[in-house]
Amino acid sequence: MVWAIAIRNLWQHRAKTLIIGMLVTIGIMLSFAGNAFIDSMIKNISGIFTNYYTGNVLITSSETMGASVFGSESEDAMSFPVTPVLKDFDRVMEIVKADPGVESVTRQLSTYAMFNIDELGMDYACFFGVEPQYFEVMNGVELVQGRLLMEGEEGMLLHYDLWKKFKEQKSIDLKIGDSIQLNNFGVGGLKIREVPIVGIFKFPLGNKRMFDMSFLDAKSARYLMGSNSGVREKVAVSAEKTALLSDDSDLDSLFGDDSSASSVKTEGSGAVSAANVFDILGDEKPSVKPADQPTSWHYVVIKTKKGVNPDTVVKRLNAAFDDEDLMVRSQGWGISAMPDSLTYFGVQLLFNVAVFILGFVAIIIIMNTLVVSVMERTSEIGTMRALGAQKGFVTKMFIAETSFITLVFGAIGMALGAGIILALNKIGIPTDNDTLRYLGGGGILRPTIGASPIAFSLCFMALIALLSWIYPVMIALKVSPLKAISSD
Amino acid sequence: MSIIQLNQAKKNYMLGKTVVEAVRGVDIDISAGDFISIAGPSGSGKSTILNMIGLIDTPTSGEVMIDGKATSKLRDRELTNLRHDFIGFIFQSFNLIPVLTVRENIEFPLLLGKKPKITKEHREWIEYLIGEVGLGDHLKHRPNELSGGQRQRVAIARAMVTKPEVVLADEPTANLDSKTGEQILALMKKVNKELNTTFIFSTHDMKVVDIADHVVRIKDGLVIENTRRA
Repeated sequence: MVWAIAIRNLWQHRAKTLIIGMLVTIGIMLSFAGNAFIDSMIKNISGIFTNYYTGNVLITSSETMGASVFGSESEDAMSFPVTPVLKDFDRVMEIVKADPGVESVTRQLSTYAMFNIDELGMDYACFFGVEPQYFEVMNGVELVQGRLLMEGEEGMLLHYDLWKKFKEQKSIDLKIGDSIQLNNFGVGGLKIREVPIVGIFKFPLGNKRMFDMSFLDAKSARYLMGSNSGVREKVAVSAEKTALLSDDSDLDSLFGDDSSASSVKTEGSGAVSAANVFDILGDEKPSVKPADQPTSWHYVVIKTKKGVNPDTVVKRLNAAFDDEDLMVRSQGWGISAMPDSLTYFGVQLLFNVAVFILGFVAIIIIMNTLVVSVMERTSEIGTMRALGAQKGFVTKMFIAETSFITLVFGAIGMALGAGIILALNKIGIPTDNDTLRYLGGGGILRPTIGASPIAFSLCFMALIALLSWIYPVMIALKVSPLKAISSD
Repeated sequence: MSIIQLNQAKKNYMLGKTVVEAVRGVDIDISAGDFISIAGPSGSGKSTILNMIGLIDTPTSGEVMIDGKATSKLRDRELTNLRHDFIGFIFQSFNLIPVLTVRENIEFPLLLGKKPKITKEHREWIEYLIGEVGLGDHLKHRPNELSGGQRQRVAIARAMVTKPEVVLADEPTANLDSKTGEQILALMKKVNKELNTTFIFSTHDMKVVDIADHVVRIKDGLVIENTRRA
């Protein structure tokens, strides 16, 4: 009977019902379509990151917060970025390989360096230091020229966009076999190394930040990092040697006339390294081996088995690492892809906030309309109360009205939202300009309907249904049975 | 046997800053099976007395006893239950639920009780009431499709559906033409005689007063006559 009264009342006041209903429909439609779109966008981006950069699960040192696969950012403008190396690496690998959800594993270093080509170009870029086996696990690389790295080889896989940039903007036509001088200046001082180009590659999809990234053999990457590798150990240096750093030292006398950094000719094995420096300085060496040791890695990159939720692998591995007090942690693509992923999740958050503001407005309008409805129906409510209706009955009547409106018009909104997404899926959204490429990863984005927009819209509907009746019911419950009776 | 008692019941209203004494201390004793008219001119306080008897208004002072039980200390839930189980209402403006059909309006109070279910016994009783009020052909009609007399018949059937001890009727014929009004009063009288249901109605129409077997006259919030007829 409650539902019959509610539905017939809504029908009797069709105009009001329609206005509220349209608002609910539009709100749910926008929330559904928008959520499905953003969800698809993030799914797309997460696919790009997990296939080309972060893997499904990434293991990093737990010595810093939120280590990105692109290396740590500087803590402040006056300091160098430091990415800690993984400690107890062999044990970490044993645990990872024993996990039932892990399909394949590789390891990686990340560093930044400047290209120094014919003293013309000085472009700063991110490099992944890898072994040839890396490309068996992270197999999204598309070779444009040349080949992948071979076992024991020192070389570079240059990103096609960087190669094109040098060619078009600086008229430098780099070819396979050419050596490029890379400079890195960090806490360990200036590091210079010449590395030959063995291949030029690109990824099928990806945004601008990703285009700046190239691959180096792990040995060269380790060398370029030098002590800029996360080994934060105090080094004992005698007073005699620290005196060399005093202001009145004649530092210029240490260099010849043509001693600019760019003119230093170096070769892989003869390069200046942290070890050489310590040899020059004397016996005081760091107590922990530096990152240029062949067993030092920044990350372990994991591909999980098909159908396995990476989050469960992350949890399981972290539990195992905690059990053994290992200073590492596993993380999903979202943390590994920071700060880019923050933008995507930020867009999602902003959208959800906007939808909730819309929902709040809808709730206020529904409330207001229902309050007017209560005022028009005081005699009816008073009669019900006089005949023996408890306050609960009146409450149920209004809940039924708001629930019916929300369910029916919310369902229409969801259907319309689904229609929009299906249409966009058929048409496809090109994401080739810079902004859309950043959000969509390039190519054609075809949004799909996952569980998230359905769950979000249902929550949104429930919120409207739950909140919009509260105030009208408070007013309705104040209606006295006396309102049913005509006075003298 | 006394079924309702008003003991020195007073009711004051605030009109701005002025206190209006609508009922100024009345004692009324109503017996089971009474067909009682509370008569008086407009503004005399008769509707206020009816409201206090119907537990939809509370006295400022004094007491309303229902079936020997004081009601002034009862909470809203208990008062609502008592209204549902013990009292039926007939309103001057009929007050049918506009979105319900005739049958649904009659059934409505049954769905407000502690066991909101219509049993076979209920159905037989509803059929009997429909027959008594003569609305068998209009069961699927909505109130706005009925005449005033038909609406009041529906209201009588609705008031009787829970088999209450007492039916309160606030000027039940005020919105009806005289012929229909007489038919409604005759129907109420018939139910009163056949089922021994107590009927209490307010009126300022002397013709309506004449049909009552217990007349309470009110003037300026006081009882000026309380007469039982043989």
